[in-house]
Amino acid sequence: MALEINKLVGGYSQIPVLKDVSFDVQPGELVGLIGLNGAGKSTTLNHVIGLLRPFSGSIKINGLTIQTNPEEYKKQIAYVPETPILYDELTLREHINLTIMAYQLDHDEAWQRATKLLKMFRLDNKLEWFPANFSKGMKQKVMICCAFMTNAKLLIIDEPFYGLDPLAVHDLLELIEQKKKEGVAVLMSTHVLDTAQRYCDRFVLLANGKVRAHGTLEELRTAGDYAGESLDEIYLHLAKGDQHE
Amino acid sequence: MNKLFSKRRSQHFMLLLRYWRLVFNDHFVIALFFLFGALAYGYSQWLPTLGPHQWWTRLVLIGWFTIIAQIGRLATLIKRPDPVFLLPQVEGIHRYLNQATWYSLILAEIMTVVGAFIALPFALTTEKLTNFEIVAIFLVAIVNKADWIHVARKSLSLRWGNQQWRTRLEYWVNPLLASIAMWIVNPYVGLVVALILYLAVVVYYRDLAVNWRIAVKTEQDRMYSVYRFFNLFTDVPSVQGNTKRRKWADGLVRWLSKGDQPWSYLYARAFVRGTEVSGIVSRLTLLGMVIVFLLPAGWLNTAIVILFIYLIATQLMPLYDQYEANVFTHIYPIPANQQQTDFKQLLAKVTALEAILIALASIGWRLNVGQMMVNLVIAIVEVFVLIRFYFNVRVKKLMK
Repeated sequence: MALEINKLVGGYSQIPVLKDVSFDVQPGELVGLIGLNGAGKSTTLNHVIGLLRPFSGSIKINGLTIQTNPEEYKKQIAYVPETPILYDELTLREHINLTIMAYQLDHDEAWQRATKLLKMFRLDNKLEWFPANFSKGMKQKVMICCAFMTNAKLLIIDEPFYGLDPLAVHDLLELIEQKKKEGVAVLMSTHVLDTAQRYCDRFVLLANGKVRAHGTLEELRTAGDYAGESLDEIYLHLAKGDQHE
Repeated sequence: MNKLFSKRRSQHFMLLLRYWRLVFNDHFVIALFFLFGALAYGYSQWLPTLGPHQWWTRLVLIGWFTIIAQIGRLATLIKRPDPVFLLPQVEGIHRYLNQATWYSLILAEIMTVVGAFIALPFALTTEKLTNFEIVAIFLVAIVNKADWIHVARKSLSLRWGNQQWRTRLEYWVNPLLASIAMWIVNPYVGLVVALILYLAVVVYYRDLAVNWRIAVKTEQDRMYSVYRFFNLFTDVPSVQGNTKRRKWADGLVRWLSKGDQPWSYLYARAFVRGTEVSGIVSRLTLLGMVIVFLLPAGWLNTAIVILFIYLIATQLMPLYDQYEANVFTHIYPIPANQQQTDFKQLLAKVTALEAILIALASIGWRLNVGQMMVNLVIAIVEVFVLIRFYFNVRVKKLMK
């Protein structure tokens, strides 16, 4: 089991945002984390990448926890944040170099992978530029390159589609497909439900910090008696139901 | 509208007060104390060695009185939305600017008088001056500054605002003419020249309807330089450090990030390419070098060397938190203590480099090799002590 979240209670301050969240992601599987603004998607991801400490419950990646083995745990993860986060003082080439150092990758091999990714996103002629001055979409592409060039076993992707041009969206989905074939587990939060429906193997629907439903599209349909409905419609049902509570 | 300026002036005062308090809280006071002490001491030692009236002394006086006329700018306290909100207030804004001009004039005159006062011992050593002549000298300085401020005022006007070269010329040439007349002929003639120039400027530049675009830009530039100054001592929110590529410094970057650990890789680039910390460090190093180069050899020289090395080391500390807000530094699989180790390494390298530069400069214009060697040894010992003890303590404090 690549990622295993068990009865996670957590949040930023004393007040828990997440209440008893449990789900898992298998190797070679893309799981979509779906929810309204403020449902707890990013909070969940922040717990997984180790920025937040659980109040209770556990998070395991390939059997490792961050408490017992922080370095090995972190080595398993590559992360694409919701808004691009770059170093103002580093050129694009140096971002790649830094990633290689941080994850202790083989220099030449990693550069080969990176060059392929940079070519795909048409960034290979901008190696000496400061990505901090790029447009939003290009910055996002840099983040994707840095995450996908690692050999992490778990990819955490937070809202990846905003600001990307249609071609880049397509390329990203292609890359995720490739990573899955290599046995990498992918956890992706998103609002773009029709894309999620087409590409995700399973879904975790979050609402108010709780797992409202999870499973494949078929499982979601049968569980809620929504035969033939799209993910979009199922989600709207559930979300509206919550509002009336 | 009449109260607008006084309201803004008191707001402005509060702002300055807040920042000045931060400035005078730092180690910088000690440094300034030493600096002024050293300069005053050097000045007093130097004066008796001067013979009366050498050919260059009058040039120095002319230069000095031209320069002190440049100190103190026109603070209009105009804000960016003003052109929109105050556009209909034609008469009001005229009064407002007059108030601003008076306020700036008074502050500028105080600084000018202090500047003239500093030159007085020099002038009395090299020239024979009667009491009336001394009064005339001060009056020339005051009239020159009034002239300067009026030129600054007209440079914000619709009619003359775009003639920047002309304004700049008047800033320098008018005081220069009066100073030349004062020191080459005599102070009374200087006063007459200064008064004629002042009257000419005031009478000629009367149509002062404001050019909003220039007025806003000028005031913003002025405030920015004020903030930049305060930013040397504390964090000013509106001044963010820039990033420059500085390709020529890539060798330095490579040396600082040797070993290719992620943190040393980051810190080396943050230090060299960020303008803020490297700016302070290089400016202080340069200042220190100039001072120890000019200061006659002796214990004071060594004391300044020691002080500057310490001062510069303290300025490096903010770098530690440079990447605190970047999530990636938290999720990289790097041992937790690596950050400290690499930061200390950067501190050690930069401090050593800067210490050696200052110690080398202390050879002075008399090429006193002995003095330099002593300073070099002391500097190396100091760097060692800083690395061994001081940085450990400071970095532990930063960790909290």
